[in-house]
Formats: sequence, C-alpha cells, structure tokens
Amino acid sequence: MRLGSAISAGIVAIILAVFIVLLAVSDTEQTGSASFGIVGDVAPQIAGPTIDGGSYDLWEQRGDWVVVNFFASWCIGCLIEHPELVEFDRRHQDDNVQLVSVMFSDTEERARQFFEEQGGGWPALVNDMGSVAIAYSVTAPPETILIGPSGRVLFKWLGEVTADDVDNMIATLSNPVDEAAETQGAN
Amino acid sequence: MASATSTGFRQQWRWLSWVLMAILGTAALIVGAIGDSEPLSDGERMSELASTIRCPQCSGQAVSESNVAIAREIRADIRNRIAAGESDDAIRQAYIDSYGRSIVLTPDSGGFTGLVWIVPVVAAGLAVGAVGLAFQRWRIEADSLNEATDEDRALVADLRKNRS
Repeated sequence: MRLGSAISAGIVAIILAVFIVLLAVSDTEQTGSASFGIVGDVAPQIAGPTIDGGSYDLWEQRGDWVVVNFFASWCIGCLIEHPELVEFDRRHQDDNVQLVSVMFSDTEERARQFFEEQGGGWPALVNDMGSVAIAYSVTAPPETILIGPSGRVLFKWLGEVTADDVDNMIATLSNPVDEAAETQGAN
Repeated sequence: MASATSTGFRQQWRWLSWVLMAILGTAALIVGAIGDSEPLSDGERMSELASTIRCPQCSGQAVSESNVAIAREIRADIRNRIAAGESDDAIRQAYIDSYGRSIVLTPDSGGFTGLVWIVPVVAAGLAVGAVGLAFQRWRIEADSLNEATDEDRALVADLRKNRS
C-alpha cells in the first residue's frame, strides 16, 4: 500500500518535473507570442490599376515615404477620416511623401463613387485587393500603414488617423532617417 | 480436478480477450490516423482550412463561421491560394506571417504547445494503468477474504464443541 502511494507520488513528481523543464526550455518564439502585424518588415508589394486609369507599383516608390490607407465605402470611420487624408495629400504635393488608398472588401463601383463624392486625387487601387490587405495584416478599415524610404513598414494605425498624426510620426522617424532609427521606431 | 481445469481455461480466455481488445483498439486508432482516405476536393480543403484559421476581428471564431469583411476576404484568399496550387501548410504559414501564430486555431504539434496533444494520451494511459492496478489490488484483497483465518477456524471449532 505504502509502495503504491510512493510510486504514484513519483509518477506525479516526474510529470511535474517534465512540465517545468519544458516550460523552462520551450522556444517562446515558437509558442506563438503572436507577432501581430508586419511593422519592421519589408513592405509587401502593392501594385495594380488605379481609379483614374493609371497604374501603381509600390516597389517603384523606394526612397519616398508612403502612407497606405485601407478603406471601404461602407466604413463609417473611413468617411470620417477622409477629409484628413485630403488635407494630408494637400500638404505633400511637392515632397517625397505619398499617399495611396487601397480598397478593402468592397466593389470597384462603390469605391469609385466614394472618391467622387469625398474627393481625393491620390492613387487609389480598387481592384480585388484582399490578398494585399491580408499581407498587411488588416483586420478592419480604416487602417493606415507608414512605409519608410527604405521600403520597411514603420508604423500602423488602427482606426481613423489625422493628417497631424501621420506628419508627426514621419517627423519623429525621419530624424535621422536611417535604417537603425526606422527599425527602432517600428512599433 | 475438472473445476481447476475450467478455472484455468477461464483465466486464459479472459487474458486472451483483453489482448484481443487491445489489438483491436490499437489497430482502429492506427487505421483512423493513417488509413487511406480519398483526396479532398478543393471545396473540402477550403472548408477545412477556413475552419482552422481564426477570424482576426472576432474572438475565437473561425473564418468559416464569421461573416465580417476580413473573414470573407480570408475565405476568398484561401480559395485563390488553393486554385494557385499552394499546399495547406503554405497557406496557413501565409496567415501566420501576417497575423501571428495565434491566427491558427489548432495548436502546434511540436514544442511545448505539442503537449496539448500528448498529455491527454499519456493521462489516459496512466488512468487505465491505475484502474488496472486498483482492480488487481481489490481482487487480491477479495481473494484473501475468501480464505479462512486461524481465528475463523478457532471460532468454528468452539461452535462445534459447544453444540456437541
């Protein structure tokens, strides 16, 4: 009887010890600290025809700051945010800061109508861009991504942004503009 | 003599039935785990993958069960990736790269997370072993109760003496 209890206690102790050892040596990266988002990564390609009949290729914009805004005509936040994007675009007509809009889960027709009604002369990609949104870990619009001149994703806003939000972030990250500073600021 | 032979035969038969049951159980598990199955159609693969990818905007819901925009986009993306010939693992990895490992609803089979698969099997094995040991101990105790002790014999002898 006593031997049986000792064996049971031994088995429990061994199992506990195995758990503790596994906890101690487990690879935290693998256990999934959800490295949510793509901040710090090289920006995935965004390319395709634009709403005005032109074409756009993100990888040809290397050297510029690029602000990517994911929007949808059914998204109230996008409607609220849009005047800020118009203002942001107005401020950066003559510098190396670009704005590009990417349609998320919407139809081309409704997206065109959205831009016609709300204004905005910057490139807007309105083809089926679901895979691009997924590559940028978008969950719900509006979401805005800041890509640095090196082509890395530096910041991501969930929800509406203002022109000042984006300008302040660019000012913070661009002093000095080098790879190290960009990577440090990527959060 | 005949009774002893019958008891021995019964014990052998009992052991044989346990062994047969263990073999059948193991065979069923092996066949279930690695048995040949029909290759899944693209639609079935899509459904199966969509049921293992978490909707990033929902709490604990698979993209197959959600109708929010991102769930619809991911379902469409899975369909496109299958049509493009990507493997299930490559498709899952694409979502892990974008949204992190928590996007996958099924835990890893390796590393510490793999314990969620191993622990129930080990626990079930230990439980079966413990029940077997308990049964054996109870049987030994019951058998020992069937044998008359010296006290029992003395009691019977006293009773007989008093009666005579």
